[in-house]
Amino acid sequence: MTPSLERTYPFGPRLTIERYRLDNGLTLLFCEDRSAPVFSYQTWFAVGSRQEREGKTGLAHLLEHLMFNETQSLPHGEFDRRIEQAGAESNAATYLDWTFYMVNAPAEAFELVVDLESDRMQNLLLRDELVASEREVVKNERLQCVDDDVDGVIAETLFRTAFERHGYGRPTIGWMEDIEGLTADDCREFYAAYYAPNNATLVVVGDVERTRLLECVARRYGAMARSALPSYAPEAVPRQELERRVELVQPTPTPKLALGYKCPAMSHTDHAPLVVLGEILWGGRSSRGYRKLVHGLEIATEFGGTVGQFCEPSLLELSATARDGVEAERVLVELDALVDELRRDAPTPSEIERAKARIELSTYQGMQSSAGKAEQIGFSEVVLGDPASLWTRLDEYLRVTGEDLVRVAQQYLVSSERSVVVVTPDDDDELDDSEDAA
Amino acid sequence: MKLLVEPCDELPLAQLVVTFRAGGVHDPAGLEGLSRLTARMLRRGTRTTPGQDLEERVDGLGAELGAHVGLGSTTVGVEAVVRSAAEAADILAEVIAEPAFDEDELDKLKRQAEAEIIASRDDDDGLAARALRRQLFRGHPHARRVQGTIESIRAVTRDDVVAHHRRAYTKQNAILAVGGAVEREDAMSLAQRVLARLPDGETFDYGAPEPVMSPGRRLVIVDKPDRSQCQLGLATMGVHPSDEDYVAMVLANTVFGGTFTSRLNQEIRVKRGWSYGASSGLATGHVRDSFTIWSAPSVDDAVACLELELQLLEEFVSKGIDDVELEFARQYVRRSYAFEIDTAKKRLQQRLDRALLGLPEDFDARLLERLDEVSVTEVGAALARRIDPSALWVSAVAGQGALEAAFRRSTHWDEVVVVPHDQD
Repeated sequence: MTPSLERTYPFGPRLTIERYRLDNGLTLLFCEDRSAPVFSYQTWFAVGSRQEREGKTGLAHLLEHLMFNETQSLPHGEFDRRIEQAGAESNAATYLDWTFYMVNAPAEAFELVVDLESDRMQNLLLRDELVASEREVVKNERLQCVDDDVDGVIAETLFRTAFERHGYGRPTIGWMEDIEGLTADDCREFYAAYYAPNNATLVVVGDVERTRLLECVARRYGAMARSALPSYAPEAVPRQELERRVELVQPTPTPKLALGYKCPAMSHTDHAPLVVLGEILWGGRSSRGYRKLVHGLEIATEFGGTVGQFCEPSLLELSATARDGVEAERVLVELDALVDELRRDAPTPSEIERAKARIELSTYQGMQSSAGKAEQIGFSEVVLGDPASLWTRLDEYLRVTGEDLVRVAQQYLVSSERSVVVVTPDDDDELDDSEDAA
Repeated sequence: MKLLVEPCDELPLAQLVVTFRAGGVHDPAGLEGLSRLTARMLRRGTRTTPGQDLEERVDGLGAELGAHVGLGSTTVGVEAVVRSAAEAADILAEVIAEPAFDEDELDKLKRQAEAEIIASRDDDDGLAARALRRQLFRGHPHARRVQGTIESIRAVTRDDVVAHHRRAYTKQNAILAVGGAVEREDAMSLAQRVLARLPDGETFDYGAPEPVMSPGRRLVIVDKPDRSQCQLGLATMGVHPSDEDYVAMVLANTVFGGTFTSRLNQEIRVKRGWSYGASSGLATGHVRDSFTIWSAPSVDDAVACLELELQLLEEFVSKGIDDVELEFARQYVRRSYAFEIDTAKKRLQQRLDRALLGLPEDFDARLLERLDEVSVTEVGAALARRIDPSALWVSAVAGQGALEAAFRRSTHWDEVVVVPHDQD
């Protein structure tokens, strides 16, 4: 039986999201968009690395890799071959709260994509030898993205330090020793538990005919059985009362600095003002951080930040690469002064308006492709339960006031509750060389 | 002056882009990085507006101003919410025509550019790619780093910047592109606004000759200690889009390393798990550029990975591809083309790229038609003409020592070069 429409949401200036649900709990979010003869088909699972156990980190991510391998009806390699032969591309990502799979395809490949995606969601085969082979690939990925990448080391260290006994403190790619120990049985258990219709949202955006979509989804997903999902209770993060600091020596040419202030979950009402505050501090060349650290004092080569977009409280991160010959501590002193200003006085009206204008621009920029729209929809559904939140949040950002900004700065940008990672180059001769060149 | 318009009212955004036919190849010897410094200085103030005020104006409009410099071009553009399009056009007009080139700001920018060069030594991908291009195009302008070097940046003066700007930023040397929620008539009006203050000037020639591949198999090792992975690149000369062999080589590359199911990725990643990915590509430029192969094996697997890549390349050239592979490649190239043009921004960029290279507007349509005409025999002949596995460069980012010795032993090398990772 084809699913019936539950509700609709306006999505931007011209589009509408339609919500459907199958009896087995599968949610379908459809946004018809005929601007190009392509579509994006995404499957979002409400499971990420935060649900992993100690000693089994990296499991969600390894399974993501294995989802491109064989099924009961498709031999190894056939999924990718059929996707590419259709002119489509596929990819996936795993993070703390979610795992999602994406196929972007020309419109005429629609039924092929539904067949392939529904097949691997319920019929994946996880043979020992393929698990072993993909484990090697993931190990190489970890070497590339973390072990040989100083920014990867910093990010991993920051979260591990900030979340000592919480899932967010464990790296999504996994610790190397855990990756090496993951088995096919681990993967089968995880797949059976979490890759179920009542834990999944299909997001389809693009040049797709509604009736055909509903009929295909009902036919291919309707018989899937629900799973008794493992219970997940967020671990309480004890209030931090002292700054935590880690000092690393790394093979990098210049010092680096990363700070993580505790920030609320994305669903919290304080999240929007923190985003606006972030724009004022690091957003673009008119931001306070760029003007002072990069342009004014010339003590940083790069400066940036993010406000965590997660289901649970996470981090507002600041990061800086110090200039050659400048110590990270100097950058930290100046950064602290910037934070103190924000805690003390509201930004000027023009700063606030500029931040809002930048956010508005970036909202539209994220909507240009079917894949971009689908990703926004899927992410919003899983993290916030509202697939159109991109637009409701834009309204929230535009309503933020100077008083809101001072309040959240005072509440969250607290030194005693932050974690700091300081990286010193492991070869001081690099600094001497560039001084000699002068 | 050429104007390209790509209207699209799906979103309330407008793009205004000016590309000048001037880039890294036009930097005088010893002043590499000049064109990039000049482009970056545009945002640092005009004759009437200090740099910081400029940035505030841009941000306040809900706009984004940027500049990008390549070997043969400098692109300065703004993307804005459409209600700000006219003002964004005025800002673009002001920065490209009336930059102040303040001496203190130039000194600041030079110091920042130096700092960025030092910071870039963190990026092993970039280190491997630059080392490879420096050797592959030795003595040719394509060996240059568009960013420049610390030494060359320090040598640039305000007079150099002013002179470069005066010559390069002219109407005759420009291609203008307008896209987004803008009607064609309004696009003309915006275009005139953007270019109004520029002098007429002359069109630049690309100026660089066709590069020539030196015979022999050569290795450059970028000495960077404490690596657990090795960024590994192989390169030889590729093919230009106007070459007769271009379509055949596009199909060949698709089979060899252009997709996840390609030979390279299947052998290196899927079967052996040696690298997160392995791929090949044909670089496109004003003159013939490179054909490259990339992978990132662990240091333990690096030599074996290189040996396998050389073997695969030799087989590829000597035996070509088969009918099944050719048909797969045709279907992939034809059907995936939808994603080259699925947004107005991409369509505009594609047209701009074609115009810059002097390719006809129907280049892509003709390429797609030609796919069915190319045979397995033709692909084989193109490979034999274009790629000589005995004439190539290999770059590897690895510490000296055991790995270097193992690389040296892996095959016969006509030349081995070891460079420090901080050689800019």
